[in-house]
Amino acid sequence: MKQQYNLTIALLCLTIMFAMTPLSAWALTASNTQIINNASLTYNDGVMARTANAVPVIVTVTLVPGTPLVTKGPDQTTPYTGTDTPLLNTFTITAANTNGPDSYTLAPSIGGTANASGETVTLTSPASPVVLGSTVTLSGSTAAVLNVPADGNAGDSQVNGIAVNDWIVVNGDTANPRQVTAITDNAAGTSTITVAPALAAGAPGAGVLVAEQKTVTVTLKSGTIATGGQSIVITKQLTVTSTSDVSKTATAGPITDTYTNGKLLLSKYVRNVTAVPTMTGTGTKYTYNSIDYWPTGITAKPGETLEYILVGTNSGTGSVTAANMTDVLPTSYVTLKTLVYNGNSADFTYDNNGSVSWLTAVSGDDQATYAAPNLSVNVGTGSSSGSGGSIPVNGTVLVLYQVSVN
Amino acid sequence: MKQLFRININLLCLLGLFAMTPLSAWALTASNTQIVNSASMSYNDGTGVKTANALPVTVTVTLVPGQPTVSKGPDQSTPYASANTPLTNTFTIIASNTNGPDTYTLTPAITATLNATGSSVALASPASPVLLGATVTLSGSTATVLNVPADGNAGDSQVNGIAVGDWIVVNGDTANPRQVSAVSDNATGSSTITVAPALAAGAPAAGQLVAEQKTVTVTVLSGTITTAGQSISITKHLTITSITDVTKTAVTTDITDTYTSGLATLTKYVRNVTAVPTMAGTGTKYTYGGIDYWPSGITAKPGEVLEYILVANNSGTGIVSAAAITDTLPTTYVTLKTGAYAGAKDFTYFNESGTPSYLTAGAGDDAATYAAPTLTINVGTGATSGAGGNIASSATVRALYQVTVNP
Repeated sequence: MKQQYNLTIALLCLTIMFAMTPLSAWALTASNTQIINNASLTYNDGVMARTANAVPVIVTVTLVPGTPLVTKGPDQTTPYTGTDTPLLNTFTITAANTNGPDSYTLAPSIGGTANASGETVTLTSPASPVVLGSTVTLSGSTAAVLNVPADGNAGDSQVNGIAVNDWIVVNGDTANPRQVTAITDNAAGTSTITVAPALAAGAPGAGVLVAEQKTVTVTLKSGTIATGGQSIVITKQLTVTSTSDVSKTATAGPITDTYTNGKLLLSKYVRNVTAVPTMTGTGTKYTYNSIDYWPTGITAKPGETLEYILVGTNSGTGSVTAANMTDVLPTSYVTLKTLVYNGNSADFTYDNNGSVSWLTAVSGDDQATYAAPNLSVNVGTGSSSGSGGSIPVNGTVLVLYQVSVN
Repeated sequence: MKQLFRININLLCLLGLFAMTPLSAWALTASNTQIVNSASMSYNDGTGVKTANALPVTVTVTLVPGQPTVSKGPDQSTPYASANTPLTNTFTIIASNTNGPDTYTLTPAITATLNATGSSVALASPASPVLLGATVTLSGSTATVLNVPADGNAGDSQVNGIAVGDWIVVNGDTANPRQVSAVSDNATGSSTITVAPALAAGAPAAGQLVAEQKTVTVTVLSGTITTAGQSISITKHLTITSITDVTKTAVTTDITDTYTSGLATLTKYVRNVTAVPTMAGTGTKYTYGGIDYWPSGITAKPGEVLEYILVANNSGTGIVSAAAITDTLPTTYVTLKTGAYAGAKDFTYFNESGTPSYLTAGAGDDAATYAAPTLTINVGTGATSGAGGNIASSATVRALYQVTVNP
């Protein structure tokens, strides 16, 4: 009975051993690890005990390609400034699900385009294919110094593709990538990778993936805008594929890029100041400072005064610049009335998005110049006597002037 | 005048005897034989016939030295165990071409040595010089009792150097030496030598040589081996020379002694079991059981299974003992795959005959033990859980195990 007991215990031990085998799945083995068994034979040749050492057999662990991790950078917006206005987008790629360095093809592509034709996306950096190093920790690592298997290549100052200044992610902690400050690159045994600052998660256990991370920059060109005043919207993604196993592929995106485009609309309204201050015209009136101006239907008699309001509105998606309003007065019938604003000191009223100022007809002293019959007013923020200014999206500039009907 | 005549005749007879000596090979007279002539003269002194006896003249036959017969014993072989490993060689020496006891010098010498330095040979027994008795039969001998001349010395219990316990060869019948069981050692006349069993050739006629035979033992010391795993070969011979006449000398052909030396080597090969059973490595492959194993160039992915074969071969000329294979598994990267072989055993062992047996990792239950990371397998004939066994010259044993690359 006692013997049976012992047998049972032995079987239990065996069972436990088997049961433990799957647990080793946690301990990854890095590619290029050299599995070296040093076997020896001891024997007695009649003279003495002797030892015969076998030449070690070296088995090199090979790469298990894995689907990399790809994340997109921020969406970008820029004014459309012409055909093929460029924009830079970034993606972050990190080795994952693998055990060693692999090279990956980087393929940016456009997913959808609105309001443009001829748009393109190209890879700027790094060149494709790109190598992402990776390895697996051994026991004894600290938060700053990682023990990893030597990769069998001592001369290249990198361990499984990881070199000084590379960025690495340990154990999938993508929130806390670290830069490599030093490595020891040994031919056999153990190498080390030193990072700074220390890993946020502390010293890693054995079998934890150390994966290189890189930033991929792609350049988008807008192509040619289709409809002015509307934005171009281009979506794009980046596909990263292992060259060792093309089934290991990941796509991140889309990144949505917007090219804004400003569009200035100018409307002109009038009222009869003299005769019927409250004269009602036809069409849709424009009210400024509680005074109604009309697109049509206003009448006047000779000698009466009319007041025009020029309304410039940016109805596009981007700001406009170098804004300038001109008007040609029909001087056969009307004459500009001067010194009618700001206490009879100014010839024109200028309202830049609610900021009112007064201008004169004299050339060069301000934004406005009237050289009969031509009225010219540089408008918008930053405008001067020499150049027009900018008008933001939905911004409005107003210029008011008065004439007398001859 | 008549008396003178008779004397003359007797002298003539003696002269004739001497003259016959060179021919004595045919009808030998033993040395120390006493030739006694009892001369007498009869005459009539007028009163009657009288006889006058002369004092006898005793002539002693002297030794005729002869070239002895010497033959070598068997070649010897023994494992080389250390510097100056001894071996004993024998030679057989027999008196020959002579008529009586003679002493001989014995000189062993090495004629050639391979794979050793400092080899030597020395005479172990008997001491040199050595006496070999010899005598010659008289008529009336039987197959067991040889009549021989008395040697004139009755007190030494030997006849012409032949004593009880000695071995003798009669009439050159070296194939059937006989041991002396008794002698009668008379002062004069004839003595007898009794042998047992009876002579194979039956009763010898008169005049046949009775020669003593002795075994010479020499001791060879191997010196120091030059190249382990190769045999030391030492050839030697024995020279025997009559000290009475140094021209009577003989030398044997060579005895060749061999000291064997075992030399075990261990080689290791691997294959990738899982992924690509036919994956080719580099270097010279080792094929066993129709499966190729490689010394290098094999790769594996995490989770794959590797099978190692350890090949222990005795390439030397002698046996090795206490053979044990050890291997240290790099457990950081691999895990022993238990239950990989028949009967859910952990290891396969092929003995010298190529017969497989299956072993477990547990300690003490069989010749294999795995206590991570150390694998120990006692191998060879007679291996147990406690001790390694023997591997004969040119024999090979093999052990196989499998590991899983940590995934």
